[in-house]
Amino acid sequence: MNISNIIVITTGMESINLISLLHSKQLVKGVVIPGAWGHIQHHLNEQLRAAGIPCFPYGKDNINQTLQSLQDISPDLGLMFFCSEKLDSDIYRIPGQGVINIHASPLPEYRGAQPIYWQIRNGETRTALTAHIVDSSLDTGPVVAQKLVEIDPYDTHHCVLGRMSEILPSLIDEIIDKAADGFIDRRPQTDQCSNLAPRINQDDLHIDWSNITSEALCNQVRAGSPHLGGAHLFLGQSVAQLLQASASDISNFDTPPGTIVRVSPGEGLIVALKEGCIRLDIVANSEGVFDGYRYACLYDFKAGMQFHKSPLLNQQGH
Amino acid sequence: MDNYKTTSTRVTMPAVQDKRLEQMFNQFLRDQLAACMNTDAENSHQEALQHSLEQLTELLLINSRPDHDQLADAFSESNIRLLNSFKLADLNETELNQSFINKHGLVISVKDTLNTVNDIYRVRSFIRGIHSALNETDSSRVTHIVYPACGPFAPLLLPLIRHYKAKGVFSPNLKISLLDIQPGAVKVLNQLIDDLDIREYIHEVLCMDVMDYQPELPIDLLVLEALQHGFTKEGHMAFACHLSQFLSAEARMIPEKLSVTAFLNKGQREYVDQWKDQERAHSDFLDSEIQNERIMLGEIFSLTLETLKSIKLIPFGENARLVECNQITIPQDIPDINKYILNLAVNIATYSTETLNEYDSGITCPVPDMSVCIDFKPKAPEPDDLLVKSGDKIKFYYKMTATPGFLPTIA
Ligand SMILES: C[S@@+](CC[C@H](N)C(=O)[O-])C[C@H]1O[C@@H](n2cnc3c(N)ncnc32)[C@H](O)[C@@H]1O
Repeated sequence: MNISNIIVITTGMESINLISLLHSKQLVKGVVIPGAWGHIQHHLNEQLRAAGIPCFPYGKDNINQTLQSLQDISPDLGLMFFCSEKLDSDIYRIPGQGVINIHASPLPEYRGAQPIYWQIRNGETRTALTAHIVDSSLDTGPVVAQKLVEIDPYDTHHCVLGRMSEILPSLIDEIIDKAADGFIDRRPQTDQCSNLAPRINQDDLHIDWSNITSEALCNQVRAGSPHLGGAHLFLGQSVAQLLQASASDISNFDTPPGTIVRVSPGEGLIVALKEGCIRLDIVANSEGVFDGYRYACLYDFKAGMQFHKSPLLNQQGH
Repeated sequence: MDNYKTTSTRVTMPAVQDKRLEQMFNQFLRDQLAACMNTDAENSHQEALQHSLEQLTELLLINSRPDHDQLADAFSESNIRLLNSFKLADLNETELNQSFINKHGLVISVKDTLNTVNDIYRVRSFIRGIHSALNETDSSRVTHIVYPACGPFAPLLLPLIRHYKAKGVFSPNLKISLLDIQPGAVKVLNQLIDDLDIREYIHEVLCMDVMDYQPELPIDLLVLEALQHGFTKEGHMAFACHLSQFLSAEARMIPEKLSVTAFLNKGQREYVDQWKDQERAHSDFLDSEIQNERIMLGEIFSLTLETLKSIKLIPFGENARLVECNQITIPQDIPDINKYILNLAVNIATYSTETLNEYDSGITCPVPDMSVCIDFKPKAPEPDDLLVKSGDKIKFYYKMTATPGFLPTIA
């Protein structure tokens, strides 16, 4: 069969290029924006309408109305990408060939809301963009297409996101081709999944100075950069975002983890870990973006001072 | 981004430093002394520097203690001159700002050592102590003075040497070795020695780690002051242990005795209430009522030439060593003992009758050891917490590590 009626389900502005591409091929018949709308969703809605693409809200108050409109369109295929909302299953039954979700991990690994973050944080060196049929539970349906993506040692979250966005159009072409055959070579997922990719909370951005290795800290920082402010630094009353860190071969002289071991223009800001040291390369706060040395100078941080894991608020002693 | 404005539970130390001195110092940094330094100006700088240090030293050597304001004025005058020499040394950013920790302790930046000279009563006590020690030496023989980790101004010694130069005494029999690991400090020292015109007293100025120093001459007088309050952070103990092998038979050490005692008190009373109506901290202003509330636990350690000779070093990890110290007992029958914190206080006998008592200087301010929790469990435990009960015996060790200080353990 020929696929000519597609609906897109999305919540993020990142999807706009892809929608335009599909629109230029006259394939998109509508875009569903589920959940409660914030300013991003309103903005997306405006952009799409301006391009003449119908948009449908899919929240508590308008489910039935939207389902009815979609049925009228009678789409061949649903494509879900950059979507942070979980939908109920009624909508998945409407397109003839079902709804395909695009997930940023080699499923079944890293099911969940933040796959790129957790893959970088865990030091993965390659990932995949996976297209799978949406079924009743999250990220579990049969896989219909997959494209490998490298993760380089210096990649941040948005580097990987960008690389994935580049290959997304070719993955979509593949999906459309395969949809024409009714996805005969679909491959069910196994249940073997050793890593999950849950939503990130504030604690995930704190640095566990007493245990972390330099490699793990560099990865944590890359994973959160730039959108989450890398990882968070706390010293005294000061809070800052650590946006880049590198392993350092300066000895920690067995000083307690988190202790500043060196501050100098040449070597930067060096902090002890349980093993070895880390160099804090780029730090940002509401006052600016600094290299480690300048950050230390500005806030009068010097050798011997110690970063702590969480804001002082939680650190009541006596 | 989020801004966490909270109150820290850390105890804020009373200020030892004189307020005006501090303001003056800040003013200096702000203005960066716009003065242009042509040759004439340089000569007049040298004269003014020499004169101010001579006046300062004379004031310090007077037997009755001068009025605090008079002392503060003299220090402020000298400090301006010293900072001029510092300016002339023209340090680059690394020389000025780098700070680091090495195997034996903290090395603070030259910028942060610039105002150690303003610690009035410390300088006074050491200058007077060194002066009496030198007056007891045989002036016909060479005396090798070593002042390791002396900082950019070697403030505990050089004012006195300028005084000797002006009086025409002790030359050529004093041979002074000055050491500092910070290249910037050594650069300033050399500038200062020239500006003070005291090169004839100087044997060597070395930029090196004290722990690598192998003197050519035995040490007759060791001037050692590399510690922060509570006898922590800097390598004083390691330096003393290393240098002891080079001491001559009659060697003296300044300070002659450094004694650390432990006491319990309520942090609020000791560090806040006691000082709330005082402009600065000094042993003169101790509040006798609050002092009576202290529960004294005894001396945990003392450093003299005698104890240095008999010190037992216990290997600790790969590079570090421990020194065994004394044991104390947490008393029983004190109803609200869980409100008390353990504090360590340093008292210094510089030489003969010269002393430096608690709160007289930044280095003799008592320091609370918040890791020791007496009869309570901390709400937010830290890895190095030591939970103790009244009646427990606490045995102390001194850690000669990159973060030197006392390590309390349950005996
Ligand atoms: C607090 S400062 C100056 C102390 C000096 N007695 C005074 O009153 O100003 C300590 C100095 O010790 C130096 N220092 C620290 N560790 C050292 C080491 N291992 N070898 C040589 N110098 C060291 C630092 O560079 C710094 O200048």
